[in-house]
Amino acid sequence: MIEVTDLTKIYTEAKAVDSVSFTVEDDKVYGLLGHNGAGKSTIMNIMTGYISATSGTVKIDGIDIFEQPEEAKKLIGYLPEQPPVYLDMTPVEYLRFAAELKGIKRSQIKSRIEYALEATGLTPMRGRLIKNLSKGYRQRTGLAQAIIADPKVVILDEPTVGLDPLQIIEIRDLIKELGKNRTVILSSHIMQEISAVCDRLLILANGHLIANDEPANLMRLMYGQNSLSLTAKGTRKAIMEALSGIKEITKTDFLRSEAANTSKLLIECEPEKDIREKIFYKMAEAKLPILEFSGMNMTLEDIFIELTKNNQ
Amino acid sequence: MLAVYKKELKGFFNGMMGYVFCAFLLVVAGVLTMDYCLGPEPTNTFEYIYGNMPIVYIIIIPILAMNTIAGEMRNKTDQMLYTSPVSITKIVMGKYLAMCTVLFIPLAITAIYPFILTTYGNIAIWTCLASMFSFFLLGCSLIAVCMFVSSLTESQILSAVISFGVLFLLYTASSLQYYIGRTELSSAAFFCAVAAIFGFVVRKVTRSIGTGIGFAAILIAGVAFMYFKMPETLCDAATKLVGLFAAFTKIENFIGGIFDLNIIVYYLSIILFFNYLCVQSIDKRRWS
Repeated sequence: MIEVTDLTKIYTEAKAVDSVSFTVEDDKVYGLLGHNGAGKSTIMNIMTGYISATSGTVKIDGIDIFEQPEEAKKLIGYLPEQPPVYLDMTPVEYLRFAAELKGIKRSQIKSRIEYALEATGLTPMRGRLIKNLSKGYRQRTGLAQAIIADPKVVILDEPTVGLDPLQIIEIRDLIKELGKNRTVILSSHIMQEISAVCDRLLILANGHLIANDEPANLMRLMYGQNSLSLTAKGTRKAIMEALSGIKEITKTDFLRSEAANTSKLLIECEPEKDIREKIFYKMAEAKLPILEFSGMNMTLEDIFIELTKNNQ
Repeated sequence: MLAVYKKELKGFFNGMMGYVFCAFLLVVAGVLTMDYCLGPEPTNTFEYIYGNMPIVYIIIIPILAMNTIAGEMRNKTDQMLYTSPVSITKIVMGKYLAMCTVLFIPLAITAIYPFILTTYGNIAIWTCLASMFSFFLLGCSLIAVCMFVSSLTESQILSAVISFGVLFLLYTASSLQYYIGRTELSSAAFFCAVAAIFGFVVRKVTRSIGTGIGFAAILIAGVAFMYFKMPETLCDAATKLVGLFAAFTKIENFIGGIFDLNIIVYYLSIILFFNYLCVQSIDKRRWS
């Protein structure tokens, strides 16, 4: 378990992270989501002991990263934003160095290197110099380094940047696989990636933690169930009267409409009921022509934009 | 520490750096040996070649050390090193010892020369070996200084240029010291200037003008106190202080045949001090 309490990081110019607290449970995949400069990398760099915090604590399995850094770092595998690879080594040489650095027993080094190469799909490139590898393979080399010591916690800063779609799927599967028996924290600003692999989301904006929940809960929280957007010719009063006969409607919200004599509104109704036909006939009966009519399906992307725009 | 040491050493000999470094030292040593011991007027003073070689350090040590820490910072590979379960002290020590090893290899080869030369005449073997040892210690001290400089910047070139400047000052310190007058007033003026520079550095490091000025003011007040109350202590003090930095000339005793323990302690202090500073400099970067 990882406990982050009141983490604050102040650079000379700005507050990068502002009293962020959260707890990460074992064997789950956590997603850290935020715009560029929201503080994702800073938090990860602090959690892995690369930089210090201005105040606050990070405890990995009860071990404080600032007080007992060497003990805590043994539990973590970290892939920073830019893969920390030595360009004039081959992946095998590099992984051997990583294994020795992380204190893996001599007898196990070979098998761990093979495991890491296999898991990240690096085997065909094992003997090439890293400087001759593409961005995707460099990224994989960095990832192999993070998992080579079989750490309890794997922290990945934007692991799929620079990969092609097929590689992204492979890495995503690897992350899911890793998440089965260890904790994974990954950051990203790409929604599909997060929704595909994460059990829980932490959303950051300007150094503040603004949401910490499961993806499904977040979606329900925002625009729960079933909502429709409707633009029609007519006054608000007339439209309200026309719709009053439909029992399934739980809430109506009028929005500002650009054109004169038209109204725009959001309609929420009970979950899993399709009331589009009913609305169409009621509006037709009342002679209120529908100009636009669409179902609203909130994606994680919308939630993210909605949550972060208030914090800009 | 062993992992970092092995990686660094391999790194030097994977590329050209290690070979060029060794070859350069061996060429200089070879030419000097030929000139002193095998020329038209041969002498048996092989140890003198170590007295003539230190100037080579000014060029090759900054190049050897420029990449050590600056390069890691620029490639972001430091993120891997500092998030691994190894303390910064051990990482720095690993890097440092690897560089010392690269220096040791060509010097160990030159240590064979006096044994070969004994076939032609009398050679003071122990003096030669002690001179080689002192020359090696001087090199290790300079490596420590240059490694510290490398930890201050991300740019290799900048690191090499600054190191070059620092080594040049150390090299010339033994002659420069006589340009500072031996009177109390000139000593006091020199110390005030040093205090002002210290104040400037403190200001830069703490980013607070008040602290910098305060620091310099306290030092200058101290100098003024000494100047007015006990001027005799200031007499010659500046010259002696600058003389302390003349690391290059300290090996002369060894070449003259004296095994001087003070000098060994002097070099070991420099090595420890700059290794410590290097660790602090890396740590400071993580805290700011």
